[in-house]
Amino acid sequence: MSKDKDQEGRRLRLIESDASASDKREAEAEAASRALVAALRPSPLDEVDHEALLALTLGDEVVDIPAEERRAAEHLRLALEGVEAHPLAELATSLRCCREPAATLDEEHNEQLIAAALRQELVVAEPERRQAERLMLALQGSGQHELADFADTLRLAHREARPLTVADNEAMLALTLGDAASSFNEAELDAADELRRALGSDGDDHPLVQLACSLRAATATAELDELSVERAVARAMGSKAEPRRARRPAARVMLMSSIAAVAAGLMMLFGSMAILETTSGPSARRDKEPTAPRAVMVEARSTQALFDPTTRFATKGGESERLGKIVAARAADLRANRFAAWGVK
Amino acid sequence: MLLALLLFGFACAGEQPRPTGDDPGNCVCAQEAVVDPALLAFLSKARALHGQADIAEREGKPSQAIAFLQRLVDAPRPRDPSPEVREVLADTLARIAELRSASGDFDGATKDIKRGLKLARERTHYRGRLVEVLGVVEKRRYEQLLADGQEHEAKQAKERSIKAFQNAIAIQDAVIREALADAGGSDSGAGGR
Repeated sequence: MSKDKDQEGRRLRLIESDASASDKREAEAEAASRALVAALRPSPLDEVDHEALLALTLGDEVVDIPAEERRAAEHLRLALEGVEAHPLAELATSLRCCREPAATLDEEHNEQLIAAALRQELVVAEPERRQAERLMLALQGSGQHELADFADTLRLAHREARPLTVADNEAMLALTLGDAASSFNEAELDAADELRRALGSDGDDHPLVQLACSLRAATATAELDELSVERAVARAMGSKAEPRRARRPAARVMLMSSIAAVAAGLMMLFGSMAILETTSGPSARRDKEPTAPRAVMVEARSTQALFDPTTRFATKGGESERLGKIVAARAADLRANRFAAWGVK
Repeated sequence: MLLALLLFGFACAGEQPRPTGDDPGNCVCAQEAVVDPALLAFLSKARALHGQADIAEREGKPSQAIAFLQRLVDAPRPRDPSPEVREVLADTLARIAELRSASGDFDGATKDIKRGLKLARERTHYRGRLVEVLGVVEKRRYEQLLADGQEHEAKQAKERSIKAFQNAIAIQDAVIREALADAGGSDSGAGGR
């Protein structure tokens, strides 16, 4: 019996101890919560801060700054303006510089600044010095360096244009003076002949014909004649020209018919007047009178007739004499043509 | 449309041919080339350059003479040059070829001859001279090859030289026959190509 009582008492204590532990934990949590709230709560302002905040809010100056602090502030201001020295002036300047956007330093300047800050001379490493010397020698033509070509290119890019070679100069002079073919070789002349022949024909068998036609049209100042226009249209339209003509609208045919009819009427009218005039008018008498022959121009022709046909040309020499005869003869022809053009008989 | 065409036809038929009085023989076609200042300028330039070449040759400077003449043959000329221009150029190319071959440039001389033959297509003394100079060029080549001991090539050059001289003689004969109106019906006016 007593044993049962002991067991029941122990069970009750266990229950009681569990309840007291729970209460204890709750109390601890409540204390921690209070401590946290207290920690997060702003501390009450002291009197000076309170005054300063009020003054700031109301726009008043803070008048309660101690005279010592005010002197220190004035000292710092003068130091920042460079008037006086101040131990914090350097720091203030650095802070001010940090707030301003600084220009990006290149690598060389950065190195120099670091060296200056460390009060050291800028020391170039020995391998770099050797590389620089090797590059310099390569640029002078007495060695090799992988960057020499690139450096040469850069140098040429910054240098003024190189002088023209003699050939270029000749070609430019020839172009200027109209003597464009003077420096062309045989192959170029043959190619030019081929292109010239292709341009002279209606064919389109040369790859440069279209380009040449375009260039010629772009630089031509004279108006195109009818034949050239026809040729250009035919070349541009190809075989499509005929079907297009076949699709001419009916309204256009009507318009052409009307124009033809009006033209026919006018021709009949003027034709009848002309008949009257030619049979009895003054023009009939004028036509019966002998008219002066139109001026005859001397045409260009072979010079063979200027030389004795029975005497062959020598294989060497005699060209200047032949040219003398030719020039004299054609000068006379030109004179005759001028007189003929002026109407001098 | 038909009515319009009929009217037009009547009108054309009613138009009387008006006598003009122009002699057909006096008709001057605008397309035909006449002796003009440009032609005379070219001829004068040719004479001056040949004169300079004469001086250079006399001073023993054949390369300088060639340079003077080259300026003439390489200068721009009209697309359809007149007979005078073609003949003067052919004569100049013959002279250049002769000078080149004298200095040993046989291939260059042959090129000049071929270029000249393209210009002097008619059977004239100009074409005859070009062919004759070709014979001279091949003869000089033959002598050079023979001196170098290249007998096979020398023989070929000699054959080309003989053939060129024969062609030149044939051309000169034809020119003389045509000039004396003794060429016969089949030969007269035939091209020399």
